Amino acid sequence: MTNESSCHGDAQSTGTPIPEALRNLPDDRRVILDVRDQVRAGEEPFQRIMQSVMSLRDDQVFVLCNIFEPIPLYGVMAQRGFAHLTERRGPQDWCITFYRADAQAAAASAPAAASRPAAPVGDAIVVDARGLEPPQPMAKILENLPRIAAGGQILALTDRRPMLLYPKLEERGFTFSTEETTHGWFETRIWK
Amino acid sequence: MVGSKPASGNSAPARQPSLWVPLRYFVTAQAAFVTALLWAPWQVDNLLDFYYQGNGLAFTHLLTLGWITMTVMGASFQLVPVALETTLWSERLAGWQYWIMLLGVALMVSHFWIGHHHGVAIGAGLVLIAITLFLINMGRTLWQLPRWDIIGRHVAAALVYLASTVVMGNLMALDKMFDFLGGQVLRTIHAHAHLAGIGWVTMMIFGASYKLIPMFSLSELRNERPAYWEFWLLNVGLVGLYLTLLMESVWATLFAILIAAAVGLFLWNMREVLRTRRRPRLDWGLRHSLSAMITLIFLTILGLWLATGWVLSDEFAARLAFGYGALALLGWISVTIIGMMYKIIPFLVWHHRYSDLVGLRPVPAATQLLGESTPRLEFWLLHAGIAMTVVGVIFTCGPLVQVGTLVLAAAGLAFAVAVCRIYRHLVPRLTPLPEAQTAGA
Repeated sequence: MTNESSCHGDAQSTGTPIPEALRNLPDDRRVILDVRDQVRAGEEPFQRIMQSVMSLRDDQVFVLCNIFEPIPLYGVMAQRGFAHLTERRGPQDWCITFYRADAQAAAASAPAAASRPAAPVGDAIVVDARGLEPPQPMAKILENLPRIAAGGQILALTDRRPMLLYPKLEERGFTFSTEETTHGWFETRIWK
Repeated sequence: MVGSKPASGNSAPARQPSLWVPLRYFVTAQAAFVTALLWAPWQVDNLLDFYYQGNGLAFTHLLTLGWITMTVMGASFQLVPVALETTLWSERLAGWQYWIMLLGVALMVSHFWIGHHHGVAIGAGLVLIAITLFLINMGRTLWQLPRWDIIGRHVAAALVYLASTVVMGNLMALDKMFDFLGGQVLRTIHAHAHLAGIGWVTMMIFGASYKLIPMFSLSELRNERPAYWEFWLLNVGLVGLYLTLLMESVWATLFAILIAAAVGLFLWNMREVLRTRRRPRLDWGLRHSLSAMITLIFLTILGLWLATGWVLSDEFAARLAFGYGALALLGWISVTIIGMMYKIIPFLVWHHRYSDLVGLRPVPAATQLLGESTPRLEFWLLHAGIAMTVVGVIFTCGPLVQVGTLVLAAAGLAFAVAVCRIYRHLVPRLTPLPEAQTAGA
């Protein structure tokens, strides 16, 4: 769901210093995604956000409207070369503009990006289990296991190392590998 | 940290202990708590009397050892290995320790009640053995830690104070027979109580809260520096308070102020955690924790007042001290523990019963196991009961204590119903699942 009326064009109105890349940006170069209703309904917007990001043209920026500041997303986007401009426009009303930084800016905003391979979001089913109270992360990941097709894998994002998940994966015959990212969350790849 | 978990998952380096290791502690502790609350309406005369007498000590140790320490032990076996990403050193030792602890507490409480000092000493000796086993188990578990964060430090300090408390308790029990401590019973009991209440239990609650409150409220402790300040202030304040209480020194006020500052920092940290939480609604577990933290403010003010000694009369000081102890045991510690139990037990039961079935069959969410109405009823009854009992105890108002303890008994029954509703999920016959579905359907 897009919501241009509430997200569009407010970067200038707040008086926040506008990066050069966003000055005088025509509307057709803004892709706006408003996930506020989805988040309020308790749904997980990460998959939709990444789909929108992956469909961006090189000259487009991505504007996200959310009810809280999506700090973990900054790291994910930085790894893909996006800088961001954040505006808090009221209670539960955040507007974040992600734009492609030049090589120097990208390196400054994501110093770890060059030292580790980018997460293969495109070829893995991403299960974002962050921001959930235990045992919901484990339940969410286990519920998604049947979606793994032959040769496929799940990339599960969790706030903590999923210690209790490992025995369950072993029992079901899955192989897994966990990395702690430089942004403080954990990525677990699961495959058959 | 890359690849700390091997690429192939053929062995898990850390895991939680089996269900029955923590569960037996929890069930026993909850039985002790409910028994104490059901017993309270018959103890009104004792509650209006001076606090240092056999029946009161029986009641107090049923709460402190049977309810509080048993719960913290069970929670430690459950949470420490998972929170610190390690494995409990010995489940078998935890099993042996349970039976020794149970026997020790039963002997202590019963012999305090009948005023038999030898029996109390034997019970205290068994509790000392059980706690030594607990300390060995936790010590070996913590020893595997690669680094000591703020949580690990609180847990380790709490274990040191537990050891000190139980050694002191044993000396006090032996003193009843051999009279070698010089007859300064009230000084000793005040020091013993603060070592247990602040050093063992509050230290452990603070440490656990830094892990659990952000986890349950979907938030984070963004700045750990105040937590480290709190840790050191609490330690310095407690050691100083302990020594000055033993010596009946006026410097106790200074150390009480340090402890109050530590409490203030802890509450500030928790305020920041809760302010930045991503889940606006507080469930009943977190409401208990929040309420206990508010009570901690009143408790700290009361403690500071007592430490100054600016009280109208010795008699009123004794009433105030009794109310302070009751508020600490019930309003701060018990309410905190209930809040954490409302989170930990559903998790434990859900994990045992349903985690193998997730993705294969529809299963209830862990949050559905507790329900809403019973914890709500328990919350209001417990708080009303605590308020009436504590005020009644301080102002020696018999009818208020009688009504308050009756309300507490009702709260105990509500709590029993709440936890039994969770435990029934361990019995598949009582909580059947819908028919099996095709995997992934």
